[in-house]
Amino acid sequence: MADQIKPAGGDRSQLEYYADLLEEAQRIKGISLWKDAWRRLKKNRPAMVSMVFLILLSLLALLTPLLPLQSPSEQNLDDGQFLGPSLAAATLPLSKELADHDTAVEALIVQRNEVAPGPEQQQLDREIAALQQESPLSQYWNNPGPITRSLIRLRATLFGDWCFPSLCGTDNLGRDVLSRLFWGARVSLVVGIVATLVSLLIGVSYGATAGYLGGRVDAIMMRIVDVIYSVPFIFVVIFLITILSEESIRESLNDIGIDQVMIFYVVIGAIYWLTMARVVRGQVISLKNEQFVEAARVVGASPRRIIFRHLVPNVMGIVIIYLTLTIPAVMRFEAFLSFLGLGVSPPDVSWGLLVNEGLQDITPVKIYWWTVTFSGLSLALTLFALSFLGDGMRDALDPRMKNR
Amino acid sequence: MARFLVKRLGWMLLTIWVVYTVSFFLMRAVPGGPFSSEKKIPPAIKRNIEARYKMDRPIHEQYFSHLWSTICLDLGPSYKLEDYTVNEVIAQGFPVSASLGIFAMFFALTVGLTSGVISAVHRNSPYDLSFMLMATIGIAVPNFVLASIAVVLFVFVWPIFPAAGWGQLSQIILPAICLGAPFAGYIARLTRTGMLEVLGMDYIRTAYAKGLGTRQVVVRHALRGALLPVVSYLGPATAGILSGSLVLERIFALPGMGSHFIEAATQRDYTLAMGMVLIYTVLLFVMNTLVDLSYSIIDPRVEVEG
Amino acid sequence: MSHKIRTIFPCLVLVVGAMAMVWAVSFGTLPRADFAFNNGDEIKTVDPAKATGVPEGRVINALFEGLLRQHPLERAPDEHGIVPLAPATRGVAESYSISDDGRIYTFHLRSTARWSNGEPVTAEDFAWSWRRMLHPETGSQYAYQLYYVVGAEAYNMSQVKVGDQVEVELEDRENPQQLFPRGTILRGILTGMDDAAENFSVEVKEEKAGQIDWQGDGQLRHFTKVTAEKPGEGERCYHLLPDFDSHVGIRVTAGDTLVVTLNNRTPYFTDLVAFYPLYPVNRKCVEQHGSPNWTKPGNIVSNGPFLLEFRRIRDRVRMIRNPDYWNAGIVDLQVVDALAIKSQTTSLNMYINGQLDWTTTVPNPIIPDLRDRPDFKTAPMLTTYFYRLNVERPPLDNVLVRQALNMAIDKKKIVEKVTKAGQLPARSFVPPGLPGFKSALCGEFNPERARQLLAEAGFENGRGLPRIEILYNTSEGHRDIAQVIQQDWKKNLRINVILRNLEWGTFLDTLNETDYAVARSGWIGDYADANTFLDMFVTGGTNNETNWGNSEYDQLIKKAGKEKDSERRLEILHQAERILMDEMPIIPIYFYRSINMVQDRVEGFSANIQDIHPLHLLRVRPHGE
Repeated sequence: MADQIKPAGGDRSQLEYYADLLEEAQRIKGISLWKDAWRRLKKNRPAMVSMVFLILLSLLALLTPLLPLQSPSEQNLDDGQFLGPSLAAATLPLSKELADHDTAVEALIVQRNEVAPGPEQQQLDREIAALQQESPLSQYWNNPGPITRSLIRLRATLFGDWCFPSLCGTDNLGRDVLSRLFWGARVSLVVGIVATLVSLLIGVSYGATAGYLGGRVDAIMMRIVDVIYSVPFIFVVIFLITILSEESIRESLNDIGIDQVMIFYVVIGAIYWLTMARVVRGQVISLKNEQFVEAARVVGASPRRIIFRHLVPNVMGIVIIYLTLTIPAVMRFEAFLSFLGLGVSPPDVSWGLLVNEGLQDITPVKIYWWTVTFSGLSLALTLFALSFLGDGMRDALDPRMKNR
Repeated sequence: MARFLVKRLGWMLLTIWVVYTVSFFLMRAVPGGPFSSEKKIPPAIKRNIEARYKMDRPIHEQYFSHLWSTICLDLGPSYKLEDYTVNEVIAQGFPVSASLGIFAMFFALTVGLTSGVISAVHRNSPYDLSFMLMATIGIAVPNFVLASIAVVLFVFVWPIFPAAGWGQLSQIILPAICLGAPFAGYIARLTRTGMLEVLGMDYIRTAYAKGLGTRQVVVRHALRGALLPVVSYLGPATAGILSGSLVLERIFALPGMGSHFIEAATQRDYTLAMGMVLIYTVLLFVMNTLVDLSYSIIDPRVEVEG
Repeated sequence: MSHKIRTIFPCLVLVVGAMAMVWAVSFGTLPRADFAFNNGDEIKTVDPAKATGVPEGRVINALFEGLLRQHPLERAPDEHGIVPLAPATRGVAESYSISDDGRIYTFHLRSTARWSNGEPVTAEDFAWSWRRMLHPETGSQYAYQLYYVVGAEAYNMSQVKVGDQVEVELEDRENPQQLFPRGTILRGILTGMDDAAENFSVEVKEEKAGQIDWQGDGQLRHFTKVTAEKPGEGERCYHLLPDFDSHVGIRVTAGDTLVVTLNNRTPYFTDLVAFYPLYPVNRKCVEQHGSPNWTKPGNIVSNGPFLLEFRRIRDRVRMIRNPDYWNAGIVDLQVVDALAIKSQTTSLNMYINGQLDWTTTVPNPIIPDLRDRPDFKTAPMLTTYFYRLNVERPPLDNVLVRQALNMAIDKKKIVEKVTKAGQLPARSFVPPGLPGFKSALCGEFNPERARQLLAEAGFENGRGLPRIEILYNTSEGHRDIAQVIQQDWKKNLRINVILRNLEWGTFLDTLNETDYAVARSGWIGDYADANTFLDMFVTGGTNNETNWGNSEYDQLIKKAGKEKDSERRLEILHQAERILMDEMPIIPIYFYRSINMVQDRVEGFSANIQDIHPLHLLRVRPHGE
């Protein structure tokens, strides 16, 4: 404490006094919001476990193409249908096929480069493009993107032909459930995160603008939110999806490059921005009259700059809290839609789709339990973890708990 | 109170009007959509649609005439089902969904309230911990996963319930339980928190001091206070039950409004889907209004928001 | 808020809650039916003239009855487990006779046949119903089954030429939306007509004492059709058709006698008469209520062994025994439920639980485990599972592409690994087993050759091919087959395929509008002759639904229809099938086996080659016995 330091005067000079004060100050570390929250979070066991689980899951989902899994869409009708979980060895003849494919492509490229530019070269270009399409990568996985492709190639170099055995069994067409789980995780998690980000983007901008501008504009904007809020959004969204999946519309959207999954992101994100907007508006209103905003205005910052450079970063705390509420809700909704058949369509996989297919395999005569159990469990565990983590983060970021 | 109701009604009409207008224009503006002339429709349905929607009239006339019919509760012919009008489909599906919803709500309230009260009274006992764990599971796990597991366990492993269908009482019990379970969990948690708060209050201590038994204290004095958060939760709970019924009716093959709505979505039966969205909006509004009213009646401290 | 309200309120809530519970309980219970079976999906309609599917057929066969009926013979099954079908007999017609040249059929109706409103079923009812079915505005998809009758095709296709006796329907219908009751019908001779047949003039003859005086004087009047693009000055009218009474060979000679004249001898005509599109409907009922309201439970008038009690959408059709049915004595079932369950798994579950007495479908993966059960009945069936290709939608407009698609499918794998009930992979459209008929075969499974064909078509390695969509009606079995074919085409031809599924009624409509690229289809022989499979695909045929047409094919079918020598006739049909297989507007996948599971308490159920199980012939022992 400053009062323990002997003041200047007497045998102490001003300099010594200030030196002592400085030393004292440096010893007392200030505590920021985030550090404080992190400290509290660490003490919350379930939340930490959930966080570890989720980080692991996200990593695995991201790196799925790298993992030595079997193909999620390759059917094995010969004798591979409805096999129970087992440790039987499994292989994917990837290395040889890839090698052959690469040799063929290279040969064509060499040929192409030797020829003078002209129709012959164009013809070779076309052949190369066609050959690329035939790659075993497109065969075993559903039209992977370029990053995914490189990851799969890396996997082929690292693991060769070896795959995890069908630890979760196979489904009615002989497809490996384990790999479908992982690829489904990618879809579910990506939709969860991206849709949430969409809702975040819309909600935060909308709420911050409304809160800052205030007055009439605010009143109208919030009225709109209220009206939309009272509409049972799930039903409207399903209606929207109905319209958007009309063939001609789907085709035209496809031509622009928007495929069905992207429609999802936007449509699902469009439900959840309302709460975010309201919450952010509330925060902004309370922050609006703080000094730092006043200062920015005095300096001459435009409203846009004030909103986005100054206000928004300060509402991040509460935004994160609502993020943790929204992501599980979005994931649950995506699974819900896929379960009903309105979500992703085969050959894409999603956890909701897997649960739906699995349910149809349960009969009194034979219970093929593994198709529904593993997907259901993954979905349940992930939502569980998100819920625990969300609770934990909410408690951690609660300003009333500061320094406890 | 009357002012409150009138305001609510106005709000509902505004919302419905917005939904109606947006759907109306969406359906017509979209190229290749349902009412565009390029779309081939089966002749019988085409006759119905043309008779009802007066496709040859200018668009604003269509808008208002359809709006008027909708207000008079005539929602038009189905776009895909030759033999049925939207009203008929809703009329047939509504009682099934309603009975399912009523059972589910009943289950949620009884189980939720009882377990919440017991948990609160015997705080931190094994009952409390297990109830709260089950509640968390019920809330976190999506209801179709819960239902799938319930089907595996209670229909096939231990054949207690019939698998699907509708018509016998036994066929509605399992779906109602699966539908109500998440809400039972939430209500249990709410009740427990509410009860704990109330039980800590002075007037409860007074009641105990007077010599009243636990049951009397809990039921006659504490319960009312603890009920408030539950009552206000009933609004979102109804919304949840309505949307939850979509998947459950599909799993258990119940011919309710939910399954008709999903079929309408998959078949792209626009008129039916739009009609049902309007009905759901109205239902939710009515339920929310009733809940708000009840809330104000139960809690003397709350002034009905005028 | 007064204190009184506050105290009453909880009690009020409890009372309302209790009432709600009581209502919910009472609503959720339905008295149990004697016999419940899974009809597959929600039926599209109950109108005999408008239905085309098997689920509709089962219900229509219970509610209505035609001149004749098809029954399985009352005999023990043979070594394949099949009971043959009896020749069509015993319907509303008590007896019938055929003239020596095989062209004139005389049906004598029984006097005891009644409509459910008490009126007798007369020959006039049949004549009117068949006229309705042939009327172009009804849009019956099975109208071509009456084309064997003189003048029927011309009537259905509105084919008139100058000098013909015609009928004109004026624009004065009671209800413009309904075909019946029709507007004023004027009959006369067509004197002139423009190219588009929109504006024409008719010398209208007078009607004296119920008969048209064709020889007498007529009044020349001009008409223009309501649908005309270039309307003229004449009176507005709906239709210009050949005069039914003078042209079409359907005549009522007495109240109970119907005389039908055919173009040529047609051995299977009696089977056609016993098939549901030719079942009668009650004129008063249809005219009073209009279509489709006449089919609603309160309005419907029917003449079959069962009456329609109620119809709950996507739940069930409940039928009750008709005590006034002329043969009510043999009908054992009192209350029958036809449930609409799409999911094969749910259907099996409900069957094993005892909620269903008969299921027509089971999940394919489980079939090997069910095969040894005594209640599992399977038999060969005169039915083909095939994919229709819309030949107007690129790239399916190229015959090489279609052939490539066919050769890229491993049909053997499908029947062995997916459908699993001993079906046969199909290389022709007509199933085997029809005596004397030799099928024409299409290409075998040969991915290499398929790729060559695709390259010849200009789509080497799938490059340049748009995505193809496979449409199927919602069912796990169809979905699994579609997924396997999706994989086959992807692996062997590098084609991207997406899947779409629709409910039965919507699916049928979409097929009818040919609003698809590739669609799953099935066809049961309506009678035991190759013609029922081949005459579908004539140019513009209502059951063609692929936009394909080939004039040589049409000629062959027509020729076969006229050929008297049966061996030569089958040879002509073989040639027709050859064209069909060469051009491939359809890809045959496999030949069905009927799969039924029937509870032990059900008697009178036998497998037969057309999988017909008339409900009025089934008997059940009561539950619990």
